[in-house]
Amino acid sequence: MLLRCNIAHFWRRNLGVILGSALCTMVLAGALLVGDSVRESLHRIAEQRIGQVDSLLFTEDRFFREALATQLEEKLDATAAPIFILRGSVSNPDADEETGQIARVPNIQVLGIDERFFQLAPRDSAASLPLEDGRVYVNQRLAKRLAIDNGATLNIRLEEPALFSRDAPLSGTSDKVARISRQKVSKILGPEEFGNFALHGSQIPPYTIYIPIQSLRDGIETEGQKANLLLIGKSAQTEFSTNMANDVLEEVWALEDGGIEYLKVNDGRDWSLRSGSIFINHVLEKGFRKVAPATNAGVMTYLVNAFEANGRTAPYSFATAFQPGAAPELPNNLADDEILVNQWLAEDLGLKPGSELSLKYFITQGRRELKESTATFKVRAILPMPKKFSKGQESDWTPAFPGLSDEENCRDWEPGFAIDENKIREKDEDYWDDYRGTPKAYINLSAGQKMWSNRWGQTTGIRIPVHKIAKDDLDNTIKEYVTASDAGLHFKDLRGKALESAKGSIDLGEYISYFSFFIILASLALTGMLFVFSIEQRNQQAGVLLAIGYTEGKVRRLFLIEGIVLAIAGGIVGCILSLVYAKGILWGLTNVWKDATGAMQFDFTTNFVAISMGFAIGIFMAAIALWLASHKQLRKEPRELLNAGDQLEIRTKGRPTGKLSHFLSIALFVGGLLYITFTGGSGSGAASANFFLSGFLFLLAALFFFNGRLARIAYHQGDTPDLNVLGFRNTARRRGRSLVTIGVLASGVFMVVAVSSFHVTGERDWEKKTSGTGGFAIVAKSAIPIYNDLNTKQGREEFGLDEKILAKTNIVPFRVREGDDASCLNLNKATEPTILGINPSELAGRFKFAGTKHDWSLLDADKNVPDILPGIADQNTVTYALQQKLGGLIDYKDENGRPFQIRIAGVIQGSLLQGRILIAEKYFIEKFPSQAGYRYFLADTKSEEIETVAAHLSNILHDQGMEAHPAWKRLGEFLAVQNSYLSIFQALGGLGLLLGTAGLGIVVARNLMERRHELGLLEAIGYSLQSIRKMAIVEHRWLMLWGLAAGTGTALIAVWPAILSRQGGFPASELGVLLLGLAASSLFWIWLATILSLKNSAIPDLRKE
Amino acid sequence: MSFLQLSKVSKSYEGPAGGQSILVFQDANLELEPGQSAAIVGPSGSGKSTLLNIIGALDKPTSGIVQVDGQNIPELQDKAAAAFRNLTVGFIFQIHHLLPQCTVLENVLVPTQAGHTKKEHVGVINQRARSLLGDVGLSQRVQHRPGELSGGERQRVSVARALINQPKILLADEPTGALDQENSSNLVDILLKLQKEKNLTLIVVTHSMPIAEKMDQVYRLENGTMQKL
Repeated sequence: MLLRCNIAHFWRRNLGVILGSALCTMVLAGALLVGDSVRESLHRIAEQRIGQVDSLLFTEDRFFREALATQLEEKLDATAAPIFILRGSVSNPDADEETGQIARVPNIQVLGIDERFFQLAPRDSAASLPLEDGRVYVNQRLAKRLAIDNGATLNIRLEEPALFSRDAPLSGTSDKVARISRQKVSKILGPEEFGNFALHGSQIPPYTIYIPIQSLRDGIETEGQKANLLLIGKSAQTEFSTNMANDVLEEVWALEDGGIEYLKVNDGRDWSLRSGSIFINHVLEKGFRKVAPATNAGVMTYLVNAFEANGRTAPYSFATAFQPGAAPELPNNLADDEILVNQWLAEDLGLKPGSELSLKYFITQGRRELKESTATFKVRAILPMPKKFSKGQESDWTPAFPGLSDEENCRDWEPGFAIDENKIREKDEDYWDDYRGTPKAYINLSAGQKMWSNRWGQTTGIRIPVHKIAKDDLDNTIKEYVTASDAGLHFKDLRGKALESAKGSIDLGEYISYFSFFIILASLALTGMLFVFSIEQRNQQAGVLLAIGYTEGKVRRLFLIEGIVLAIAGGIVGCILSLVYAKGILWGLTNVWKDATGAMQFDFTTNFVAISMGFAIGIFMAAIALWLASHKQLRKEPRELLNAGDQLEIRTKGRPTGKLSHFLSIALFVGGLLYITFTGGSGSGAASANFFLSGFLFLLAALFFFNGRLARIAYHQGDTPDLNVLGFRNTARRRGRSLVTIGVLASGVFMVVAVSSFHVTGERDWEKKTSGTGGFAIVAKSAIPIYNDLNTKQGREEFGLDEKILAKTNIVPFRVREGDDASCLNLNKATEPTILGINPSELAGRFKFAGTKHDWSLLDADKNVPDILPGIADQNTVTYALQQKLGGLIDYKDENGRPFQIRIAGVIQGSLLQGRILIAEKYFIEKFPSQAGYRYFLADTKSEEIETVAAHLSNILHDQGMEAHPAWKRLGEFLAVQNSYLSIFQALGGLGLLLGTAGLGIVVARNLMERRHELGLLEAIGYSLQSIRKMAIVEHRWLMLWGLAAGTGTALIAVWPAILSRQGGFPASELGVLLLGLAASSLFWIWLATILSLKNSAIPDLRKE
Repeated sequence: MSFLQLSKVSKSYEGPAGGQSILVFQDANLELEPGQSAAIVGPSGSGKSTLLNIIGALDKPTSGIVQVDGQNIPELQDKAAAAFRNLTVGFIFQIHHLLPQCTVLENVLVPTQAGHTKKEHVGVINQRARSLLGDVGLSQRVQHRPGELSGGERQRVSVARALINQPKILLADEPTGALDQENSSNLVDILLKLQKEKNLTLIVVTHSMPIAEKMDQVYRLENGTMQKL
């Protein structure tokens, strides 16, 4: 009954409680709605990205038959789209730069497609999009960047793909850029038409151009109907899964799909198993060796620079290393230091059995550096002349080396190193005409492998006697021992990975909750304070109830339940307001803080569960605040309550000295200092946690300090009680109320000041090697790999780079294995981040490690456990994108589909290497041997030449799709994300602070209202109303000053380690302006509340008493 | 032993830190049987209300014995003291302290919600409340709010409220302090009539000797001592 009466009668007086609870619920439910909306948006983007695709097979630089797609379609009752996917760049030859059109966009994704691709698009109607030769589609992002519309004409540049890795020896020239010119844009594809298709998760789609697959194949002069990407979806089988797709793949794949070839050699006596990549990789060799294991024989043929003996030289010839059984005419017991030579070579160099013969040959080191080595053998026997070949035929021993086998003359060879044409004699050309690549010498396989083995393989052929296996059985027999996965063919679960990735790396809803912490705190503080005011105004009622037999607990429960009912009412209002709040935040994320989200468009999602949770948590927190605020109320004798009414002040036993508070203050302050000292505080790896904890300790210390001061002020004697003294002493009359005011102000100021200090730019101190740029001046990436060392004269000449411009430039190249972007620019969760392979010594002393004893040599550490590689990554990547820590493991698969892991052995701070994981180059090429060349670069150069060098690299290497920028700008893009989150924090923290200053106004009004009688007395004895207002302002100004001082002081102490350790510097002037603004705002509220409360004389109130 | 017995009851307060304690009164004695009434008179600040509060378990004596119906009142724990105030004592204050958010009838019923009374049918309680309001002449005002009543009417409501739980003792602290002479006289008559009807023990603190003389016993509290007149 009483509860009903109280709620019905006092609801107006309790509007503050309703409002505070509404605010709290609004923020909590709103944050949860934001989180849900972001997740739904990422889910939508993921669905648009993958369309109706479930699984994908991607072989990168290896190519399978397009017919494989048809076979899989039939078996799986699905749609399988073969695609030829390449990286390249696009240019608009008709670009009008005056109208804002851009001439060239590097780093684009080129998709050669057929009609099946659009059948898997998000929207079924896209399936009717036509494909015509000479016409292309572009996605919205590319069209926007180029500022083009339908009908525009584009030129495309791409690297001609090759089965044979261009890092490999004898892989031919690296400069193979194909051009597909003057393609007309038919349509700009939107997201529902597969315009956002990408292999990796990101809210920003790659620049993409779609071209009919045959047009692409014609443009790059590829033979056969080949593809390197296969998408499968829309299976009618309800149990379709990636495992099922792999099982079917195992049934239907052909050797040709894995680049496996075979032919009859030795006059039809043997099969020779080969690889399209020339060198047979170790996985394939292992499988081949299981076919007729007792009788198979390995072969390795290589181009030697020269045979030398007796002062004579035979240049540029093939030699073969063979295993016993490879050919009947060759002995089975050739020693490692023995060599067989054919008649031609013997005559050319005057050799006879027992002669010494030297072989000079190149081996490829990193960056296509060639090292010439020499090996010496003793001639064991002279072999008869080999048979001659007619045009188009090739020796049984020699695979089709690109740049060699299809050339008419030796002088036209392009083996990947410079041929000295002067050394080639007519007889050499004659030999080539008659015998093609027939080896002139033979050594045993182990000797050959010692010289010529490389990461791509140690054989060029495995020979198996034909009588062991009939042709009809050969395919199946090989497939018994070589799986599709061994051949680099395996499906991955694209849908599962995409949807997992769309769950996001960070829960933005959670972050918005944290950022809104001060709005929540301020609203709860206001709620509690206004509730206490309400209780105090009904002290007499409480006294009556106690006097007539209500227990203290019952009375307190009565008030508390009343408060909770009001909080529930406020919560319902808050739930409605949360929809507006969430929409506002999402608008802000898209338009104001777009650096944090890539200007992503968010879909607003109303989720009853989120609102309910926000409601429940908000009510719970409000109930806690009400309990905390009120539990010390009513702890008085009923007669005190009856007599004093709302004038009642909390009486303490004896006179407090404040000694305990001061002691606690010192202890907490020292504790905070020690914590910072031993953990590194906000400059350390666990910066956020350390910052909050140390800040919390300092704030508590400040509050205890003021608690002690207020205790002493209350009983201070000796001063002449003028208005200033009275005002000062009045701060201590309601110690709890004053402390709450100081505390809320201090907390808000703390967060806003501290967050301002964390803002950083990339430009400051970028030259320092320990900065986020590593001291590098330029960062660059290319669409097409660069194989040569750009620091050598030869490497620069190959591309026509100007030696004078690059005289002071040193370039550090990185190998790139594309994966998910694990930087803060990507809201999606990264499951397989991009891997960079680096020579660790080239980064020695660069960047700043989180651990003091860590450096780049960690990458070279021997693997303690097989298949776990040491890796280094940026702290933001590790903490936020991967949600890992030092020592964490990340799962990967190598290019043969075999699993391995990267262990996070070291973490670097605030770097532009964010989003990737770095491993040693030696381990990179072990796992991804066919990932040739380098695509990411960091360069040192003189600071005044940065723009010139960057422009030169971009212009000269535009065929490779090179984009070079000042490194500090790239770092700035990452820091902009961080700064955006800080801005969100500041904006929301500032709102909380605004509530805090408004709360100060409410406290002023309340304080003055309670003391109307004493103010009336002062007026009655001669003080003017103006001087009384001045006293009120003095009193509350002290609270404001203490709040600002406590917040600012503790913030500066908490962030000092970060300021010292980072390159952000200290924004003193900005902070000064901020603090002046806060002070002005607070003074305004104090002044306004004072004027409104003391508008008229207080003497009439004296008469009422 | 008497129904209500005060024996050598003293009250003093702690002075400022390091200072002497302040004596209110000492060695106060009083004895009453059921149905008897007493008045306590004395100058302002003499401790009359304090003594009443001690009897009503709203305060504790510094020393002495306070016994009501065999219970040692100062030794009661909080819950027991609340139950004592709810069931054994009826309090009437100088200012009525009616709850403005409740009607007249609801104000009278407030003590029944404290949780100490045995369960009674709502109808029975309501009937008793209406009956008491009839006894104080306010049958026609049961749905009115305190703000709609005169000062005398409000004080009569507080009398009905004090009696709703059928207490054994009625304590009235300056019940006519805020009333004019006519209302004061009416109120005292009502009090005495009800006291007789219900055989209550009544103690009234008052400045008014005419009112004091209507009681069975009169005590004077002055200069820290209490004398029976």
